Amino acid sequence: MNVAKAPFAVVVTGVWLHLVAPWAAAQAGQGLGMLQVSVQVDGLSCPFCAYGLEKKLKKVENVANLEIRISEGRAVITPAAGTSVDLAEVERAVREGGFTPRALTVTARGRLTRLHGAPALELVDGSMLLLAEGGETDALLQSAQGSVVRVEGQATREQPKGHAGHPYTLTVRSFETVS
Amino acid sequence: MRRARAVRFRRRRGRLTACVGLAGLLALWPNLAQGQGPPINTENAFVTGLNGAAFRTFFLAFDRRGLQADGTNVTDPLRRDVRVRGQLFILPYELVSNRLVVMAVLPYLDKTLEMGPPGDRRRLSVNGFGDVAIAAKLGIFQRDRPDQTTRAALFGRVKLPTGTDDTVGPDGQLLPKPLQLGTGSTDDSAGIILTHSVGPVALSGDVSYDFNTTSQDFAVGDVLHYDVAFGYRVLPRIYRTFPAKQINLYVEANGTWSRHDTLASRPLADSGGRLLLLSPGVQFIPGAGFLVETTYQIPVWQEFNGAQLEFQPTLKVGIRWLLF
Repeated sequence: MNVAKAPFAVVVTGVWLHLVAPWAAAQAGQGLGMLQVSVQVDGLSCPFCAYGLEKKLKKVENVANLEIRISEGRAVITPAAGTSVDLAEVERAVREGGFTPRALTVTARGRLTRLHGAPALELVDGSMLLLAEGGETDALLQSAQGSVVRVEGQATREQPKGHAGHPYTLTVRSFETVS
Repeated sequence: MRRARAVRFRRRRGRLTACVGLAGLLALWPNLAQGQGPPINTENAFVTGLNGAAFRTFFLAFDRRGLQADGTNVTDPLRRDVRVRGQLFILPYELVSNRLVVMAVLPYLDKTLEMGPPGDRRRLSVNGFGDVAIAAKLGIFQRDRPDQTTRAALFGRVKLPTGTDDTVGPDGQLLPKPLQLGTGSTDDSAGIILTHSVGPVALSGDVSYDFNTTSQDFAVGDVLHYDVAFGYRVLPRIYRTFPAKQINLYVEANGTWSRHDTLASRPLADSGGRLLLLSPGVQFIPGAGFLVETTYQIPVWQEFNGAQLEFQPTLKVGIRWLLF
């Protein structure tokens, strides 16, 4: 190796390790996980009091970004790339922040699979998001079984009997096949 | 025994002559220590957010002068002029999330009484920390709807006799009771708070009662406090994303109904009565975690028992700072 080029090689390797490698790894995992979680917050008429809500929601694991939209009565969470947030924790944080959580809207990217016969979305960290049968889910299953899909829908705390793990079921409103 | 008690009573009564009409000084401060907001002088039923984690301090200034006897203004032969300046420090802590907040209240007070004819004015002054109060607020009701909330909370407070109550003047005599920094007594308060908020409008009200006890034969009369606050968010008109610069306007009515002070269990004629303050105020929130507020309290109804000095308008300027 040309000794004069050694420093250049070190720099290139460093750039690769710090910038390109994580991106490549993410691509390998195809960026699975939750992309956005939005929770409707009732009682949010006092922006002054939203300090408590912000404080509690930021403590939820994997929350990378938080936006509290007072005029919409909604808190929008962006999880860290390739992760998901515990929806039960989100609801608990809203309650402990002094407000009442209502509809949870989740946008996630995952691999379409089945869990004990029920349709589910497998997220990157191994957690499963059950999909409510019927409607858009049926269309999704017919066109994208086994594929990585991006879905958006409303999550409700309904745990079908015999299913451990994620206690939320996603009613799919829209989807697109990623691969 | 009875004779000795009577002599002691007369002696104390004599010391109290100069403080006739000042009784409200001691009864007033606990009311001013409340109001952990958002209204400025009225409590609200929230038990989270700034209510549970923000250090609050405010400066207050009020004067009393001009004698009112049985509802009419009369000349004060002693030409008394009372000035009270205080800095109150309030530190709340959310003990149980969205349920229970405890707080400590510490006042630093500077009280001055001037009296006598021009050219021969006598001045009595004292300053230092007053009585510490420990308070708690318990959320008991919460109904949330989109863009509106209705809440209720109970609160209680114990005021401890940490402020000195035996300061002596230049002549070696004890200062009049109302001029002392503390009451010397341990006093309890209890009350209820209601808050209803819809969009930019908020309405809060509270009612509380001070159960005051006796110290060295003297007791400040029990006080019923009642407050109503109407608040309106002027800016931003549409609050999109938290946090944003915010301006709130308030109009509050802050009232007290005080019973007679007692000395050796006998009511003092020139004590107690009714006071109602109209309090316009403004809050400015420049961003997350910090607030500046001011209010000017104007006495609109003063109906005192016997002869007492009138309250002059009160100024309060304060900040709240989110700590954790």
